[in-house]
Amino acid sequence: MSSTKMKRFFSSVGVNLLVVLALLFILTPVIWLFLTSIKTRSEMFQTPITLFPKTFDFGNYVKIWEKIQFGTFIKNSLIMSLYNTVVTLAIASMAAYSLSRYTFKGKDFFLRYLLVSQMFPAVLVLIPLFLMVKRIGLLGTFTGLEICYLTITIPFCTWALKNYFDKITPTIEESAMIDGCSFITSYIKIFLPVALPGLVSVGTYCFLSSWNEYLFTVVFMQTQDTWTLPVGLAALSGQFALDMGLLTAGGIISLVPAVIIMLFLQKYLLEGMLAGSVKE
Amino acid sequence: MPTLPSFLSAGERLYRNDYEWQTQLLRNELQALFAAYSSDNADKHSYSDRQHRTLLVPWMLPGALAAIMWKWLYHGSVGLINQMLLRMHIISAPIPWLASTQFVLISVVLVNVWRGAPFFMVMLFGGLQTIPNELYEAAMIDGAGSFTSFRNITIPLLKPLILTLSLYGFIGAFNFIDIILVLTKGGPAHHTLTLPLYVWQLAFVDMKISYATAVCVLMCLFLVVLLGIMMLFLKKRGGADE
Repeated sequence: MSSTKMKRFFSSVGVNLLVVLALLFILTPVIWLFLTSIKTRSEMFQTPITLFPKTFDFGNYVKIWEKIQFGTFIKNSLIMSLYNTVVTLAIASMAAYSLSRYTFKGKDFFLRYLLVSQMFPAVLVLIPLFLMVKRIGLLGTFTGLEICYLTITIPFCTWALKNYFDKITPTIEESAMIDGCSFITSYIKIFLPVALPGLVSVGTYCFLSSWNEYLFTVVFMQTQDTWTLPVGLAALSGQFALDMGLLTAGGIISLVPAVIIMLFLQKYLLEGMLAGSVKE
Repeated sequence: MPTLPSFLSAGERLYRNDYEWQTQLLRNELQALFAAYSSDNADKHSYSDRQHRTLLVPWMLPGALAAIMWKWLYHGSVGLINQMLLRMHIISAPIPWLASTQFVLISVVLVNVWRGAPFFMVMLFGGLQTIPNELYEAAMIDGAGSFTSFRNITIPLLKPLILTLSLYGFIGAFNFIDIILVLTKGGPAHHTLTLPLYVWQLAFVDMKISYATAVCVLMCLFLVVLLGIMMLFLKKRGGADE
């Protein structure tokens, strides 16, 4: 009897140890980034290193706005993320609605194509898009970049929204139309409010993926005042006279949207991700 | 104009990059296993919502930032990893993680695992909730320990999901570029030059656009064949549901 108890005790210790190890692995880099950002410049590079800063120095968080165009980067990132969210939601929700409510020729092919197009590397579409955007003269503009972002976000979002819309019964719009609603009004006033949780979750995904986007921006935006946050930070990290304090402070600030989403919107985010993936 | 020689030499390049594809596989396995373990633990031990949220942080932050973070952790003299290992007397001299040809690949893979694991965890966590609790209770009554029930209940029931996720992770790893781009730029001496990064360099550094597209087409063919084989394999196992 006692031996099984011992066994259970040890196995639960082992299991908890695994959880702690996983947490350590996941959180250490973020915590270290924060601790570095509040150290003074001399403390950062002294050996042996100190785990906790001796003096809390938040100077880096002030300096970053003055020394580099940090405000511009944030503004650009916000513009691109909101732009992308709005345009993607507008297009993907309508596409998903028609895929979910109507049958038409080639629908299966289209659905499968949406999935398959996700499997190809971003570099693959990067080169043709670069040539096209350059040809129509949108290189270096937000609209040109936005067109490229769409090729990544629309397939996934359409697919996710289609799965979500499938769960909503069509009787709601049908009864609205019987009561004299036009098709457009029933879509906008009746259907979209019902589908709001799905739209929020997919919108969150769009916002985050364009906030995090690096590859397209670094290729398409060649002047410094059009860079987004990741590109700006990466450029800073490649500089010869590397200022680790600025870099880590910038990194912590760029975490803010992720943290906000984690606190308030994560329920939706997970719902949307799980909607199409797990079959019961 | 892509010419035949350009295709051929790209093919040769592809062939020489086989080490890359091995590491991708390794990364994938590690990630799936790691995620399976931790989400399993999480489920059974009244894993609170807050923990669940924190675990997702790496997945939500910019890839470029993840690279910057780890560059600082890998720093030769004042990086946390080297300092910790030195203090624990595991190594006697600091290892230049990103500058040594021996360690650079595994370092880069680790960063990608770090960034990708949360997504797998959440997916597997969703999968775990579909497994009825009665199975575990029955196993416990029959005297199975937690490892035995993990091995004989959780793994078989999650197999379809694990296989699908492996496929997904493989594709993701094959295509991933932003972390390497910031972390090593393919160096030192091409030891982390993956195919997508090679294409990127050809097109936007060397400005050989036609050559780059030739490599792209080959890469695509390679990926399609590889995916086809994997899909067949999964279907035969009765695994993949998509």
